[in-house]
Amino acid sequence: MLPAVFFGVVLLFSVAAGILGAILGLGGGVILVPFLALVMGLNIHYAIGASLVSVIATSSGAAAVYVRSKISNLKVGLFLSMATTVGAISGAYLAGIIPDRVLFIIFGVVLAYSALAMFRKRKTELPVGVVADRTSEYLELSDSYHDPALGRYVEYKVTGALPGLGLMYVAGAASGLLGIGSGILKVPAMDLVMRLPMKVSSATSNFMIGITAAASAAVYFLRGDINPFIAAPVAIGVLGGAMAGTHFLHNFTSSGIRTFFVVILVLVSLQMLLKGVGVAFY
Amino acid sequence: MSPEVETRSLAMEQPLYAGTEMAREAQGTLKKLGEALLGEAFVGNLLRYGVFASIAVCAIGAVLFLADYGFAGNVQPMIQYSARPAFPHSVAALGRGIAAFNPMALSALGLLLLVALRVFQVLLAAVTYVVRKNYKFAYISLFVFAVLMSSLFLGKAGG
Repeated sequence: MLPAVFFGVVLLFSVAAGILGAILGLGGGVILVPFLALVMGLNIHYAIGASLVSVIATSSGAAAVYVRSKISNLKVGLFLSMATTVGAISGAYLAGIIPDRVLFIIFGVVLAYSALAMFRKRKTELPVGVVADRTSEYLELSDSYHDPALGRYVEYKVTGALPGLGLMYVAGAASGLLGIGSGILKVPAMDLVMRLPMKVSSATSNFMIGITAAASAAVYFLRGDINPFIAAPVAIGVLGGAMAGTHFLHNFTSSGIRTFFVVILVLVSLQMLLKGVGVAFY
Repeated sequence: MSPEVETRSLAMEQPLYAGTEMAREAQGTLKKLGEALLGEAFVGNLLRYGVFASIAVCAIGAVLFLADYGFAGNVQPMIQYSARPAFPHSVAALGRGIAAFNPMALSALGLLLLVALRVFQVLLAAVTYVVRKNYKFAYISLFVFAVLMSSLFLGKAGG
């Protein structure tokens, strides 16, 4: 294949990954890693390194829009980032201790459970009857946002701040281990445990994944896992896609996004479980 | 009143109040400038322009590289995994690459700027919270920033 053709193909796919990522609160890693490793035949190290870059690009592209429009909850994002960053560093170190297969099975199970829980909620548009817990009250995390799909302002309360923090540590560890932004774990945690509206969970996740990935990026760069020839088209494509994708979030309903997310969760969960029992696609 | 009389009385009034009015305006502008510098609009815009600049640097490097090698030969050597890669993977190597006008080094620089921007954003958030006297979140942001910085040093030590 000509280098220019390789570049073009990766660029195009990255645009799609960026759009999807911006809507769902993912960094595109869950879509990009299989694509780069399976379809483009790249070594898994380079695939993960490029995925890390894509997470940061998605986050940068989407977060600027979401933070300004106040859909993402900056306070919740920064608060939870305390745990994700520590988790990311732990994850990088834990990588040498826990066997890969155990990890894949654990993640597969967690993702499957998340898929089920979110599926049950799929018809629910907005959370009802949420009472702020002590930590959320203390930090004044509750806020409101304007939802164009509903045509009104939505006020919401935040709960489960400390359990959310614990889950974010795990999400951070996953990021350090696998080089993902772990939006795939963050969004369900915010949706199910902290009871944030789906759009807020997705937008806040977009903000957070960039910070989480930045914590791992230095290690991956110094390991030589970030190949600029691969990471560049990924970054450029994903950034463009993510910026475009932010405009679509406005028009989707929360239940639409949640259903979409459940589909992705099921696919990734299956992939993880299969890898855990030894069926490796890459 | 006739128009000439009106204009004259206005002209007569101005010198009396001009000094204080201008001073008030200057104060107002300074205040707005200060608010703008630390306001969310500025931070949001800074990030947006910083992101564009970083990705532009990355894209320029990529285009330059493709101009030279894009249409000649196979892509394999560029994407083949190697324990000792040809592209820069240390700050020193990056510096050398930029000095030698290596397009791949330029691309890598753009990517690193993208990462650095995220770290900088957290620091900026901390400063903003201090100015707004929201100390709870100033501490929270500083904690996140500290963890991010330590990942750099831990990374250097381990990698």
